Amino acid sequence: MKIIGTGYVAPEGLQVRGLPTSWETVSDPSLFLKDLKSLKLMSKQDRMALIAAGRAVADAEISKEDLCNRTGVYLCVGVLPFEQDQMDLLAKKSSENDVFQMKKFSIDAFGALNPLLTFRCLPNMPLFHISFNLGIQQTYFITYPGPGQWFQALERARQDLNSGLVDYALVGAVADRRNPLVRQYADKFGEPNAPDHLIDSACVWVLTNNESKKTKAQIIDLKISYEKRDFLSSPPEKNKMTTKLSVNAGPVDPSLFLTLQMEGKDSQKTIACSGHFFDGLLAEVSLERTT
Amino acid sequence: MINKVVVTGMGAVSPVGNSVDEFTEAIFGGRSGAAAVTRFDASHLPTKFAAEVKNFNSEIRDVKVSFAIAAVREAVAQAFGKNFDFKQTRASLSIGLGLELFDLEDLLLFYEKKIPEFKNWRDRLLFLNTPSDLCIPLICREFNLTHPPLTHISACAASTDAIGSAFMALRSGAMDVVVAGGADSMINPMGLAGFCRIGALSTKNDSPNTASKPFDKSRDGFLLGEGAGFLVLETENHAKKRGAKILASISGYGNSMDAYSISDPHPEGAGALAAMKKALVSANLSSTDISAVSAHGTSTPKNDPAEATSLRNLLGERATKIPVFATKSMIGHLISAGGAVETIAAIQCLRFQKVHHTANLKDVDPRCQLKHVMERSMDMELQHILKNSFAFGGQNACLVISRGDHNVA
Repeated sequence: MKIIGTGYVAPEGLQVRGLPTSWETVSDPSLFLKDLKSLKLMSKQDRMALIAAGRAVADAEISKEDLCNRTGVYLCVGVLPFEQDQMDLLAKKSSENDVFQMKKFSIDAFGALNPLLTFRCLPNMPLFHISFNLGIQQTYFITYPGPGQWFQALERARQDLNSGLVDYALVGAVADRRNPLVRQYADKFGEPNAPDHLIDSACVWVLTNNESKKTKAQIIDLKISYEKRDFLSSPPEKNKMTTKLSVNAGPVDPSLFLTLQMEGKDSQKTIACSGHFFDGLLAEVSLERTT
Repeated sequence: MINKVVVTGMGAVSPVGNSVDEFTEAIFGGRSGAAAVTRFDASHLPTKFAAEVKNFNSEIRDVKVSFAIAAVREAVAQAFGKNFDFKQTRASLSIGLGLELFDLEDLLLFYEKKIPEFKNWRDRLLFLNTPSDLCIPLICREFNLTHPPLTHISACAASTDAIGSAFMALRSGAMDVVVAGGADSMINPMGLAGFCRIGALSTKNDSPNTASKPFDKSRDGFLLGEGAGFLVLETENHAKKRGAKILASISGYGNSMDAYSISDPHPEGAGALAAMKKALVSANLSSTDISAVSAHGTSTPKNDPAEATSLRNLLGERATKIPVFATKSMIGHLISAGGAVETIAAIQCLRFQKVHHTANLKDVDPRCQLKHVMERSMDMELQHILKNSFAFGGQNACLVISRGDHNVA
C-alpha cells in the first residue's frame, strides 16, 4: 500500500518537535468549494477536513473519474465540538438566575440558535463535504474519537484496496480541539499536553496499490490489537505514543506526525508510529520512504 | 475464502418493547411507540412527542449506553446462553453510535465555572458530555471480547454499516463471531430541538400514534425514536460446529455517498441505488432475487419519494410486485440504531414468512408508488430482504438479509 498524496492543515510553524508559532489554525476551504454558499453549512472540523483532503488529492493527481468511481473515504473525527458563540447564546437564553429552564430554552434559545448549527454539529458531515466538493461517490468508513480509530480507518482502507473494492483510498483524521467542550473532555481523560497544547488540525493521505510515480512512502507494517479496560470505576491510563508531536491533535496525531516526518529532511528511511491509547486500542504502523 | 455469515442471536430495546419477542409482537400487531415526551418538558417545542423506550431503568444518564448493554445481553444469551464469556473465541464488537449526550444543566454549571466537586471518577466521567463510546469498554469487559472493537458514526446508516463491517470481517475469515448493531437516543432537549430547528420532525402533536406515515401523501416529517439493536453474527462453520440455531443469514452489504446535498437525498435516489446494487453484487444476487424491501422510509417529504424512485429503478417492472414495508411507521427513527433494529424486524419477517405492514399509510403519495404493505401484515414466501438505511449527508448503506438455509453462491 503506497502513499501517493498527503495534505494537512495545522497551526502555522508546527514541526515534529516544537510548538507552532501561532496556535490558531487558518481554515479557509474556498479553493476546494463547489459553491461558496456552502461555507455557511460548514463547521471548523468540516472546513479542515476538506482542505486536507483537497490538498492530498491535488498532490496525488487523481483523475476526476477515478475520484468519482474508484475512490473510498476513510475518516476518523474527534470528539464533538460546540461553537463558542452558540454556546454563549444557549447559556444566556436558557437560564434564569443561573438555573436551566426548559421553557426558556424552548422559546428563547430555540429561536435564537442558528438552524444550520444542527448540520455543523453532526460528526459525519466532514465526510459529506469531502464527497460533495471532490465528487467522490464510492464507499466510506467513518469512525471516532481517538488516534486508535485512525489506525482502524487505515486498516479498513487496506482491506478495501486489497479486495479491489476501490483503487484509491483517502484516509484521514480531523479534530477541532481548541474548543471548550473538547478541552474539558481531553482534560477529563488526562490526555497528554491537554488542555494547554491542543491544536485544531486535519491530515489526509491518498493510498493505492497501483504503480505510481507519485509514491512518497510505502506502508510496510500495520498492527492493531485491543486490551479491554474498565472505564467506569477508575480513570483510564493515559495515551502512550512512542513517537509523538509536542502538541495534542487527538485522532490526527499519528498521521500528522508521520506526514511531517515524511516531508522532513531527515534521512531516516523507515519511520514508525505506535501507541497504546486510553480506550484500550494498541496500534503501530511503519512506513518506508521512497528515495 | 468466502464464509457464509449467519445470525444466531438478536437483542432489541425499542419504543414498542424491550426484548425481541415484545418488539416482534408489536410490529406484527401494528402498535405505535409514539406518545408525548415524558423525559423532559417538551411542551414548548414545535414537536412535543417522540417514540421513547418505556419501563427501562438506566443507571447511566446517557440512556443509549444502557440500551446497548441490554440489547447485547439479550443477543448473546440467545446465541450462547447467559453470562457467556468470549475469551476462547475470535470475537469482536462492531457498533453504530449516535452523538454524545450534551447535558444543558451541566453546560450552565460549566459555563458559569461552577463545576461541582466530583465524589468519584464516574461522576467526573459522566459530567457534561458522556462519551458515546462508553458502552464499548463496558460490553467488551462484560463479555470478554478481546479483539479490537469497531465504531461507526455514519448517523442514520451507522448500525447498518456496523453490521456490514461485521459481515465483511466474518466473510473474509478475519473473525469467527462479531456482535454487531447500534444504539442511540436523541430524545433530549438538544436532540429534539435540533431536529425541530431544521424542520425534520412531524408536528402532528394531536395524533402522535399516527404521525409517522412513510410514503403517505400527508406525511410531514419523521418521528424521533430511540433504542438499540444487536445481532450475534458468526461464520456458518463456527455456528454449525457448536450446534447453534441459525436464525437468518447476511448475504450482502454495500455503501455509497450521494455527494449531492447536505440535507436532501439525490431526487432520483442515485446514491441509494448505487448502495443497493453494491449490496446485491456482494450477495451474488440480482434484483429479481429480492422477495421484499425493508425501506428506510423516514416519512419526510423528500426522502420517501427519492427512495421510491431508486427502488423503481432497481426493481423495474417488479416494483409493482415486490412488497415494501417501513418499520419506522411504528417505532420512529432510531437514528444510529435504526438500521440494526429494522434488520431485526426483517429477520423476523423471514423467520415467520410474513411481512409487517407500514402503519398509517392510507393514501400513497403518487411519487411514492410501490407495492406497499398496507393495513395488515401479509403472509408470503420470503427468501431475501433488502434493507435500506440512508443518512443526512448522503451516506447510504444496504444489506441483503436471507433465510438461514440460503446457500452462498
